[in-house]
Amino acid sequence: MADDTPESLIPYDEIVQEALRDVVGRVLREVEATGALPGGHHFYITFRTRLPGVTIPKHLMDRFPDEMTIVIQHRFWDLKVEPDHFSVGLSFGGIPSTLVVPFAAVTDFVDPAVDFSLKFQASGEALPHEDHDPPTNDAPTPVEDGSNVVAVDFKRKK
Amino acid sequence: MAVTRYFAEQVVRKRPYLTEQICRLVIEKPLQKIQQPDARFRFWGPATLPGEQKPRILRVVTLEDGETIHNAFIDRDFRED
Repeated sequence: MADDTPESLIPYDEIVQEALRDVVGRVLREVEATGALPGGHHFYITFRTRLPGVTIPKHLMDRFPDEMTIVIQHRFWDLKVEPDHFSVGLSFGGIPSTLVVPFAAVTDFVDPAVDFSLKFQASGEALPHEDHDPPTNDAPTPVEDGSNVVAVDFKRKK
Repeated sequence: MAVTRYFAEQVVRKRPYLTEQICRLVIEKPLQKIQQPDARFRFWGPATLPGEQKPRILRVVTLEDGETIHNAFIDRDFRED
């Protein structure tokens, strides 16, 4: 089936990803402001550990050389949200640690309490161990194999 | 606490009763702990699920570091030896 869709001169994928990243920042900012998670909400946040701006202790970098997923639920402190990053205190094996994560490094945001999730393409180099094709901006359908492609499909009006 | 992408994307979706706290308690105070042939660890421990009075036995599987949670589920076949 021929696809006669012209190449977009507007970077919709990038614009949508930036807007979705703002969702993460806004949600975390509300938690920062109130100091607590509302109801049963809690977050699993996956981010690339080697992207610029990411600051995590060496023992975590050694353990998670590509990406790591943190849990913000019961034991977290000092959540601070800035326009381009957030920082949070978490305990790993009983060792308190402070993590600084730019929103550009976030690849997944999951709130299991309401089955809500967002996927992003991290801005930076791709993971070396990925065994699928590198993500592109011209995929006609969203990829659902866990790769780093935002799950948004731009439907054309007929 | 750190978890694997599989845990965050698949496990908690299937088992929304899993929380950071109950998984952490099982790892910190397990009734039993063994290392699998692939070097990952299995922990068993009591967990009282939301809305329940009586604890059940939760099995938590971690990566080789013994901390990063990869899987967790109610293990009805657990027998303490």
